[in-house]
Amino acid sequence: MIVLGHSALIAAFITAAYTIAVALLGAHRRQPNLVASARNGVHVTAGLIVLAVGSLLWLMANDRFVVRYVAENSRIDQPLIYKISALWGGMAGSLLLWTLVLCVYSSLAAWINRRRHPELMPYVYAVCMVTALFFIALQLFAADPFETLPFTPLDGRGLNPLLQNPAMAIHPPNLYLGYVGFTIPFAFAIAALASGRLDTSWLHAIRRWTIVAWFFLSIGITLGAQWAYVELGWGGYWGWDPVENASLMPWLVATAYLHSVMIEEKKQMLRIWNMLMVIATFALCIFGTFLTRSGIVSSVHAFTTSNLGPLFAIFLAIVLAVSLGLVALRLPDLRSTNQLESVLSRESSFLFNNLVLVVSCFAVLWGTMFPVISEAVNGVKITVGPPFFNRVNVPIFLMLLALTGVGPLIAWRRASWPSLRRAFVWPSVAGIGTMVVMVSMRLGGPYTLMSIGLSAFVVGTVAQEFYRGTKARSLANQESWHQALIGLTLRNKRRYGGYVIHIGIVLMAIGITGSSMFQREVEATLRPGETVDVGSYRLQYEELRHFQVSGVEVTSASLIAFDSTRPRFRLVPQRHFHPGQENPTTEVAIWSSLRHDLYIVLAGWDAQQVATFKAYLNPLVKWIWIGLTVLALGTILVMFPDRQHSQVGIPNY
Amino acid sequence: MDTATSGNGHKVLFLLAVVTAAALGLGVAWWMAQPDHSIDSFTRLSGEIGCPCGTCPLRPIATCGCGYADGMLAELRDLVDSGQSDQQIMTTLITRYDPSVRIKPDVSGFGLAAWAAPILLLTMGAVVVGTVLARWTRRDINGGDNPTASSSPPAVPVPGNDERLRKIVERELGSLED
Repeated sequence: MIVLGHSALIAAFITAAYTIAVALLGAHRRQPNLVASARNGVHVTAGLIVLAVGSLLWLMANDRFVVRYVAENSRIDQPLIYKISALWGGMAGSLLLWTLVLCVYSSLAAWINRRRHPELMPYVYAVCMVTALFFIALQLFAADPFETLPFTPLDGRGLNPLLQNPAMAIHPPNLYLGYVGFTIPFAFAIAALASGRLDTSWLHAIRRWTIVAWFFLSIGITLGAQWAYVELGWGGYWGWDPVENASLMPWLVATAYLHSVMIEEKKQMLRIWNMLMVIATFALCIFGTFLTRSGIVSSVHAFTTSNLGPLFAIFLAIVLAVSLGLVALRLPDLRSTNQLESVLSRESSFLFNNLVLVVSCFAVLWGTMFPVISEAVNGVKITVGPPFFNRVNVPIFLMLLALTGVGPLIAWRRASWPSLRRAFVWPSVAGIGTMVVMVSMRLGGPYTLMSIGLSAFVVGTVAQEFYRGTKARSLANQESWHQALIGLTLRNKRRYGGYVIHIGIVLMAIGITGSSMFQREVEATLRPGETVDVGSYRLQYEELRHFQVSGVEVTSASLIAFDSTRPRFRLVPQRHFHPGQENPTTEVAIWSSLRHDLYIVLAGWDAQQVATFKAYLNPLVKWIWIGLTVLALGTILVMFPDRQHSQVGIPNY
Repeated sequence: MDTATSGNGHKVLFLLAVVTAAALGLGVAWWMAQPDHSIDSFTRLSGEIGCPCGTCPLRPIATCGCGYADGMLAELRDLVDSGQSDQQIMTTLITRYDPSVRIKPDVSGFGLAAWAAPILLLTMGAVVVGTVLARWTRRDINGGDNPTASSSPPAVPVPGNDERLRKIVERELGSLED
């Protein structure tokens, strides 16, 4: 299996190189047989990478510790799910997963477009395979997942205990599906630039790919936050860690693109900008991969420091140089001479939305890299942590929330003041009314007021849009409200799916605001039978137990939570001591409801069963996870083509 | 007003907007970098000092759950109770540990650049977007400025555009033949 896996990688390297050569030759000579051969090359490369991944999984499932990667990331008594998820627990395996996702995506894109975009596809194959070639080369020459040890250890070191969590089993694949997914839009953008086919066909080709990548990245980021919340034991879910930031940056730019592309589709404007957004999103994905693997910034999530950093930096530099060079070359063709009819239009609001999203991305990038920049500029490393990110980004995100509500209220092309007044009345009433209620209840400071008030404003906007559309359709088609609502949504999936996504974002914003502004924290050292109050709960410490499960030493405390005088539920925070690991892991106990989470950490103990607990009352955290679900549902809705478009032969996106 | 005067007027307006945006950006950045005096010294500083334990880099000791952070919190409590200023406490902790424990960039020196850059990008970007919007709503299909566009009917192809349009049509037809 070791030979099979390694040989598959070598063969994939050769087929990827062959594909690049014949794809470019086919494009240059306009020979369809060469292009067809390149397409087959993409499929074969994908098949070989599937074989390599299958081999590594087999080696891990069967405890073949002679393979260094297996020995470093797996153990005999590790549950099968974590033996499989060890594939992305280490450097070499994660690079293999990157390559797998890329090659499967490329193969899928090649198959879907086998009869479409003949001018673009050779370049698409070439770009995808150049990226694949780079990642395969990294594995063959720098981080080989099939490298063997000179001896066979009796057991492996095991997967990092922090990664032995159900969320961790699905968070990285989602993140990779998002990150790598942006390669396909990038490949089409480069193909459009290289071939000179700069009409909207490449935009139509990438629309669903971009949404799919954005969808998975959104899920990946939020699952990562959930993992941090459950596993790291500090009461929060987002710490502005460089690796967390690395996943957020492409998401922000891709979100900007998903909005600005509508202007290009409708008015053939912002063509240079959209091209740059697609390039920037891909470059940020590569940058994020570089950040986690270079050791350039310290992070709890980063892989072990390696020598891959300079290689990623070179690849990133090549990506940027080639992409921007092509943009410069095609600048005259990309310039649009169309005009906007009015400054007071949805186009304008989308431009400001793009500005705010890009600034937000820049703020995150700047803060993440500032220690490196400051050290390079004046020799002193200035550390930048959560206080900076929160202060800079909170106002920016509030602006974004405001624009989320404003955008749908302004008409495309031109809005009149009377129509604006009509459109803004009810959403503004919802927003201002909510703020007035909050002020009267003395709830929160200015940021909290603005966040919740703007959230209400956005909900008002979306509700009004659905109400108006449903009412109009109901009157026009003599349908019931129920039928009209479903018909309206299904007929305009992109628009109304977008509104559902906005609601998801609002729910997340409310959750983030509630949990960060109203969190309560109590630390207490208790003897068995003693109690401590957290908000409206009284926690009574019962006992401390020590036992062993699957080779893991567990120290477990149990507490009963009383609501008033009634016992409501039992909480069991633990500490796990994994064999071969230096530090114990924290297994928090969480009782979750729509109102708040009661979050308990076992901080310390002694031989007399005296235990120290950190208890947090985190309001509205569940809203974040519900918001993700709503966002996901909205995105799925957007992914499906609108019915009337299918009927008249307009591209299905 | 002739075109030249109008063009100069636009330039002056743009410059004024840029200067105002820069001043506003710097002002906001400076304000953002200031310590939050609405909360007590201990709470404020515990949110601005990072845990140096090595397993939770950059996390403020206020939220870091590790034992190392607990020790630093106790140390911070003693320093606050001794009546020292924020600056003195920060200097003490930096001397005892490492400059990296300060996780909020300083308001002075190069630290100010950390705060200023994103905000300046936002304010200057707003000026650029505003200018671009103004230009795009003024120009006609030739790409030239058209001050009366707002009251004119939608732009239509003009004779001067024939050559460009012909080339576009030829290119499109050529690609179809491929």
